[in-house]
Amino acid sequence: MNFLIKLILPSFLIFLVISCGGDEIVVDPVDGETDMNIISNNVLDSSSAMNTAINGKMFSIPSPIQMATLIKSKVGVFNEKLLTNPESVSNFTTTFKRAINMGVYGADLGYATIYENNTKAVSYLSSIEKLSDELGIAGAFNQTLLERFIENGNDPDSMLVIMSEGYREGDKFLKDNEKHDVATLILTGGWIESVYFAAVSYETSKDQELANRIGEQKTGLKTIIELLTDFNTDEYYTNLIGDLKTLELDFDKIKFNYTYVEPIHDAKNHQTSIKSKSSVNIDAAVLNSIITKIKSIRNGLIS
Amino acid sequence: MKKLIGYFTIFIGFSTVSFGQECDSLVNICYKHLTADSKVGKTFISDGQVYKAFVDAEQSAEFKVTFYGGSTYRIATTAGSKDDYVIFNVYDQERNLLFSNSGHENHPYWDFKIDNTIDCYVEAYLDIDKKVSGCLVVLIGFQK
Repeated sequence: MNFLIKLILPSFLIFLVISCGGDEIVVDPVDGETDMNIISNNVLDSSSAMNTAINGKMFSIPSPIQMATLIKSKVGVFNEKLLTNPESVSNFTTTFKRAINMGVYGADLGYATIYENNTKAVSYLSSIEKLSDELGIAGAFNQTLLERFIENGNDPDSMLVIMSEGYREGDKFLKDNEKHDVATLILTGGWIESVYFAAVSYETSKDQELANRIGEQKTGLKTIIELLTDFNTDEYYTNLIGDLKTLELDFDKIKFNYTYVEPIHDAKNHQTSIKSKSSVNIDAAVLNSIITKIKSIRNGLIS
Repeated sequence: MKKLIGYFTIFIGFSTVSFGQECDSLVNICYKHLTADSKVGKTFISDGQVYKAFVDAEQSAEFKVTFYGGSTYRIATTAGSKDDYVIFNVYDQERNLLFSNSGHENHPYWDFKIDNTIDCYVEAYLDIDKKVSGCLVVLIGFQK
């Protein structure tokens, strides 16, 4: 028995660990037979904590950086009044407020970076580092990332890549650790702040493309409401969901037109041009109502 | 018997850590696809989200995404050490197939130049001729 325990059993276990190779069952492409790297049942179990989604939906929220990019192309002047106070971190004492405002600060960081206001950008990144620490995702926004961000101060594209790396790492960490609610709140904060940017910028510019971009947020809003509702078991988000559903009533009045057009594929450059036609038709009163509501929601969250 | 239980615990621990690390490393591989052309001036900025799922032969992962008009996006995928494990399809809101990498040797990433804003469904699954089970990762990036 001793012999079994000391020699054979460890050898067998080591063999199993090596042959598992993590998770793969790979089909040998040469002879077509399955190269059985054995996989344990607990790993295959769809209820395992490691699974993010099985035959279900995953969700995507548009990046605030894209909104800020459009705004810069329409309103060239940096508007500091659009942004929140990066020194408010100590006011956020709950996970809800910290996560929402981490998203808000991310949008502010993107806006400041796109307008090449590096001093402002660094102050937001410092605040994000503190918030991420308080949320337990310090690895995503650490001192190294902050230093890289500062070192690339003359290259806004690199700065945006570095900041998106931080948010991607944070998202991965939160999903790996089953903190989908916190990940959702961060995305929600970023989305609300970016729509707020568009709303205020539209008020001053009356640019139709900005109005359309606000209307195009309908899918993002629907996704956010679905996600928050899924994670609202403790009813912490009931008020926010209620506000967003009121906002959704306005979005439901927007008319969208869509016509499919055959895409054009460029295999050599690994690119497809999507040629389908679409348009947004927003009534002025509906747009004004959306602007009023998004300002109210946003100002309530950052206070 | 205690030793037996100890070895078993170690084995389960190894298996779990190994799976988690494999998923982690896939995100890094996928990110390399997203940034593959940075040196030739095509910089794609991640949307900050990681789309991943553990799937087997019968399963697929799907999500809805809004692509803005006037933008170029890259969808990058991976499911392991080889580049061609994942098949991904992009559909419009009426479920017209806009693109499938299956017609392009399961190329792990593809760029989409968008004329007008469009809501799309991205569906990803394993090519069961090559791999029948595992972690699957998708990343989306856009050009500023």
